[in-house]
Amino acid sequence: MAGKPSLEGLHVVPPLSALRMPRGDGRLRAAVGNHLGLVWRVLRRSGLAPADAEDASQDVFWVLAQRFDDVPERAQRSFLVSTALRVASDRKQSKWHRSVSAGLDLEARESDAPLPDEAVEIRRAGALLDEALASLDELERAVFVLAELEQMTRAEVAEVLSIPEGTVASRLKRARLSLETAVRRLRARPRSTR
Amino acid sequence: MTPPNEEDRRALERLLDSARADAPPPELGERVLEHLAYRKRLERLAASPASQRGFRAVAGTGALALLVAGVLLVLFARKPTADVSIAAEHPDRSPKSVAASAAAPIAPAQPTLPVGDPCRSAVQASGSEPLIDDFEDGDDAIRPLEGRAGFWRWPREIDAPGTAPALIPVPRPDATRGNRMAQHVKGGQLLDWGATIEFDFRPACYDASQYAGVSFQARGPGRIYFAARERSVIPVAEGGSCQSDCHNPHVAKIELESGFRTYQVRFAELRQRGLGKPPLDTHRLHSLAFLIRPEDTPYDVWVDDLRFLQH
Repeated sequence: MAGKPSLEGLHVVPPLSALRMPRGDGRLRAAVGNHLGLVWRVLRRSGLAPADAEDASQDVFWVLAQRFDDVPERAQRSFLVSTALRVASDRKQSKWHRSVSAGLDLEARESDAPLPDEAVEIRRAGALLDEALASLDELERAVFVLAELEQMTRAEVAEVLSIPEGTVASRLKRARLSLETAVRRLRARPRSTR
Repeated sequence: MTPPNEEDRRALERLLDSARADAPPPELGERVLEHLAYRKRLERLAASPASQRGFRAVAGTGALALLVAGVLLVLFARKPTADVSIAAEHPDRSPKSVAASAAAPIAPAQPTLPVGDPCRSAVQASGSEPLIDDFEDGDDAIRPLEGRAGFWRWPREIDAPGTAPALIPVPRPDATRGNRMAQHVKGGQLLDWGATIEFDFRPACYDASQYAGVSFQARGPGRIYFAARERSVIPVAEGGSCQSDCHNPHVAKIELESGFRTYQVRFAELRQRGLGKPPLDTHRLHSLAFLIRPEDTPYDVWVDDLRFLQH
């Protein structure tokens, strides 16, 4: 996988493009171009490490590809978000996710590499936000990510998560309060020396 | 702790602003498209009877050519090489059998399957196309023969969740014109459950009851375990049907040497950990794997020419 830190023992893997494979059709290319950022952020904020989110992105768009004719273009965004939430949840329950300790997380290994200041800030913010989001239950977290991070309307969030709009509002309020408290706690914590 | 104040709210907003700028790696879009095209192509190949006939024809021609080559080598060179894998599968030739004792017959009864069980529509091997993968095509997919589909991966305990790298074949150190590529993994000391070279059948229920086992070439040195995993040892969350004693597959121990050798493993030789365990149910295979246990690390393992053994 290009772009990842070199892992011990990993031999050189040729890019898939070297295998003379046909590219996706135009509609699929458009869907990936339009929604990959959204899918990526939902997967990441659902608790997947960057490398895991890369694999999961492929799974999410594979689900869309299989049902492309059933999903109208206007519904693609909602479909992809709900699929991403499900894929992320499945992956977090898998044995690989459970078997890895926090100390071996790829994020931590990547932090050793030199990065531009802006990227460092984004990564730090993402890590802090993830830590805060981890204090929420799965539904609250999904509501918050979709409504606050992706700025979806309450109606859209309700549709994606199949819950009433009233529940979206109440969960969002509770999530925000929990997160502000978590952020306060994290800010009060002494800085890591790493 | 006091309730959050305006400063906490502003801090959260700043975090959200930064997180909104979190973008995927720049090349990820192209990789996703390539991956989708690849999987679509494999599905078409697996679904197309014409393609399967084509593959059978190619495989048949290849098998005949290898058989002739094997006979010629035996007659004139009397020097077994890695290219005579088909001839070497025969017990009378050179392969090293994992268990010399006569194998008990495999007689798993086809159970009555509940509604919704994916094995109700399991893909069934006909017994005529034993090649699983010879890696000569250079990709991470197994050969789409007899309805088989799956992708090679290399999960290790040191990987972050779900990041098991795809395994792409590499040139063999002793490459010949007819056998250029193999799978190779190499790594350091592991402490927990180790590493595996594996693929899952897609769909995750494959009926290999028409076959008696597998043969493959491998090179170490070291020890690996060949595992055939039934759906019943894979947890439900991972696509299996296991409720307890999960991840306890049927395995056979393989002592590798420092050169390529051909090994045969009969399904009846495979055993699960624990006493009184049933034999492998070859009607319901979820995946095939080569396991590397922590006590056998560091490791440097090559695998090639994996194929089913005919009865």
